[in-house]
Amino acid sequence: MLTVKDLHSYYDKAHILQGVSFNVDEGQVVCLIGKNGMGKSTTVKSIMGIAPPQIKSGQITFDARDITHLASNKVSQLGVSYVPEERRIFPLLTVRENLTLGLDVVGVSKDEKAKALSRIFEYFPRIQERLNQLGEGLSGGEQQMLAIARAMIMKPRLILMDEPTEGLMPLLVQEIKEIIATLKQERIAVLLVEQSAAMALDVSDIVYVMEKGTILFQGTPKTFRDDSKLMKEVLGV
Amino acid sequence: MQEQLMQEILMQILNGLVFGMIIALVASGLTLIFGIMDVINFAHGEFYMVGAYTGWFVIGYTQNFWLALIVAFFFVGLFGAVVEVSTLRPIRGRAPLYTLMAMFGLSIFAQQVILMIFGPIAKEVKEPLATKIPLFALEYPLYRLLIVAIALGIFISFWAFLKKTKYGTWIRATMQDNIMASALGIPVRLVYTLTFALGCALAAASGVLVAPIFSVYQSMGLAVIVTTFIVVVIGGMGSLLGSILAAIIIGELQTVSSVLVSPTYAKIFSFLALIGVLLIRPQGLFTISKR
Amino acid sequence: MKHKKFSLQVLIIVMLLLAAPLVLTKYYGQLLTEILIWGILAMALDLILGYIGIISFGHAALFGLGAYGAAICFVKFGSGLWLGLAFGLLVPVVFAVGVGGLSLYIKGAYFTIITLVAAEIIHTIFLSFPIFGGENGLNFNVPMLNLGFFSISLTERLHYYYFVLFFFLLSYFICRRITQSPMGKVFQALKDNEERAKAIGYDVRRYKIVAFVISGFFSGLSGILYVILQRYANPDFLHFIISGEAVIWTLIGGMGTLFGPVVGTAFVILLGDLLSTWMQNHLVVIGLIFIIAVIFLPKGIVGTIRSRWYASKL
Repeated sequence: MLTVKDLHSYYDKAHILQGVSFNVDEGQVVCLIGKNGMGKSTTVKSIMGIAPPQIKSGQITFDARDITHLASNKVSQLGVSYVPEERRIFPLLTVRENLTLGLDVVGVSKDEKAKALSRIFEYFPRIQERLNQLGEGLSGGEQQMLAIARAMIMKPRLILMDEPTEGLMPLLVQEIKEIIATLKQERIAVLLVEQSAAMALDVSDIVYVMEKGTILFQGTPKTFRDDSKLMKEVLGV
Repeated sequence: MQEQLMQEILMQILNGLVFGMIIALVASGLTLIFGIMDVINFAHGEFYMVGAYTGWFVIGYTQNFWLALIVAFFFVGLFGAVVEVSTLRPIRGRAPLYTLMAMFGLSIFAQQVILMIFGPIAKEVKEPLATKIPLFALEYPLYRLLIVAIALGIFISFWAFLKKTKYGTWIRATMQDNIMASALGIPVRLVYTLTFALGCALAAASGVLVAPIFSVYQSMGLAVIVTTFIVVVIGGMGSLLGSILAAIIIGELQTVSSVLVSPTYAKIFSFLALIGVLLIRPQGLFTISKR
Repeated sequence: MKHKKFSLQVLIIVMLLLAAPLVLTKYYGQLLTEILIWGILAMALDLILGYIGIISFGHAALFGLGAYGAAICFVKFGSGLWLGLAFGLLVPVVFAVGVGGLSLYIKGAYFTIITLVAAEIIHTIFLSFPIFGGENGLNFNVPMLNLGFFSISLTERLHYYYFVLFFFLLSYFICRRITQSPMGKVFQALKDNEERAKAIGYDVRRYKIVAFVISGFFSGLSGILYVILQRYANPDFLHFIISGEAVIWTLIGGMGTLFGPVVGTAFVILLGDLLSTWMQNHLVVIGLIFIIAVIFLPKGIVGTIRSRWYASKL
């Protein structure tokens, strides 16, 4: 479904991604793990079409369609949703507006909108309580949930999640794991970027380890755990 | 004598409100453009000026002031959209220096084109209503009060547009986080064009409204842009409400001090206010957070 | 090798400028004099715009303060040439110190707005207060140039051309030395990355003020030379259009090249002169060319030529 081939991305002159290749199939949960600054976020941004960074060579295809240099709004319309590292909830829009913004771009009827919202409320009951609050009034954990909900409401085929558990309490980390499991049930693929390898290993089907802008390892969580040398290097275990 | 001075001051307080609303319309356009696109439109005064000339032109043919106002609004809005696409879009990624320069070039170009087409003599526009109404102890032109009402009407409609409509929400979202807005599917480039067009249209409306008072001439843009910049900075770049409040304050400051001291000192006071705000509270007096 | 080549080009240009009055008509001689005067202003602006990278829309104020400074000396104090020159240079320099100081606290586009507004205020002041002659300005008799044992009348076009040329060449060589000196490199660093310059340990504040002072000095010089040419000082000398034109010359010629702005000045003035034989509003064309230059030729004439030349060497 998503194929990344030999991607080279730059921040100005800094050569961050030095030939990254991997793919994500329908309904798969794929994770990118590795230490900070290795290019994980850059990879996600490049896929989403957010610039900076600049893609200087390589190819990204989604459903056999070349999206390498496609602008992020067009990528979104193809069925890719983005949950950014900093959550990026619109601070001065209400929770409702944050949620329905993407829907209004596509243009849905009032009924469909109501249906989509109630679907989201089932997964995120607390959001329903805060519907008319401004985004900036939510706690860190609530903002994270809202960011994921906002991505989910679009019924995407693929969700890009960048460090969703950063700064969250263990209880919320567990909730996010459950959400990812739910997404998998709904056949929504997830590309998960995580610094917390432990959490990522629990939910993923495929694991890629990134180091200095390239893929160092590719395999399943089991093969990763079996490789004790790799475990030590990445997890410090 | 005392009473005459009081009447004069009262007159100027009213004038200050009128003048303040005129500037508020121009300033709100400028601050909108900055808030959403991070562009300081150095040609903003020229959109005001072109609006005034458009109004004069339409009145010449139709004798209808209100029609002229509407035509100028949309025509200059369209002109603004064309400018945005042809001149601002190509240089969007570059250092802000180039945008400033490009808009400056546009202002020179626009002034000269208008000069070429319409000549150097100022154009007069008649007030759509000549009635004066008794207010306190004097007679005040109804048209000027109407300007205040119309400006308020425009602001309220604009606020409703921003808060309640789809495109208004797009604009608000883009202002708060243009990257995330795009990631949700919003055509951000289109939002920029729409925003720029709206900002210019607001300035144009102001130009038409002010035409019967100050007449229409090709350097009227320069005259208004200086005060507008002062207002936008004091009110807070990107804050609509801030511009409106600051405009009224500066409007009152300038008109009342013209009577009490002199117009030159009035300008100096405004300038000192500008420096003061920039040194002490650069995000503007009326913004809540630091931008 | 490159250094030698550069000197040869410079020598040729100096020779040409020295010989110019012999070939040019009176009209073009006058035009060249003006080009040299405005060229000094453009160089002064380039120090701020092209080197430290701050946009100023208020250089007309520095220019005009120089002009009026000298004029007031001549008119109110009946002073000689050199005193007028000194005073005319002092006023914009003092003002530039203030502006430079402000630039430490107010940055970016906000500062540019300040330059625009401040210049307009000063313009209004010269227009309104009667001691400056109001709308009509100040007329004066140009004092003689006293060179020790003989005097030269500056009202003679030819004499004045060489007078201006002397100051132009002096200005160019001084500015050239400055930009090529360590101080000039710091100026450039301020444009490219002020934070890094600070981190390395440069006292950014001092360099900024110095840059403004130098810019004020030469802007004022330009104003003085102009006011002597015109024999009167007029508030129009502080009109925004002068600030604007200086920016146009500098960009079209090439920001940050010092020589470029002079080329830009010559180009725009000559083009304007040519166009004015056909059309009344030649500024329309200039304005359009400027917009196109900003979009397509941001390095200006000299800047683009230089970078193409360097690129071809690789």
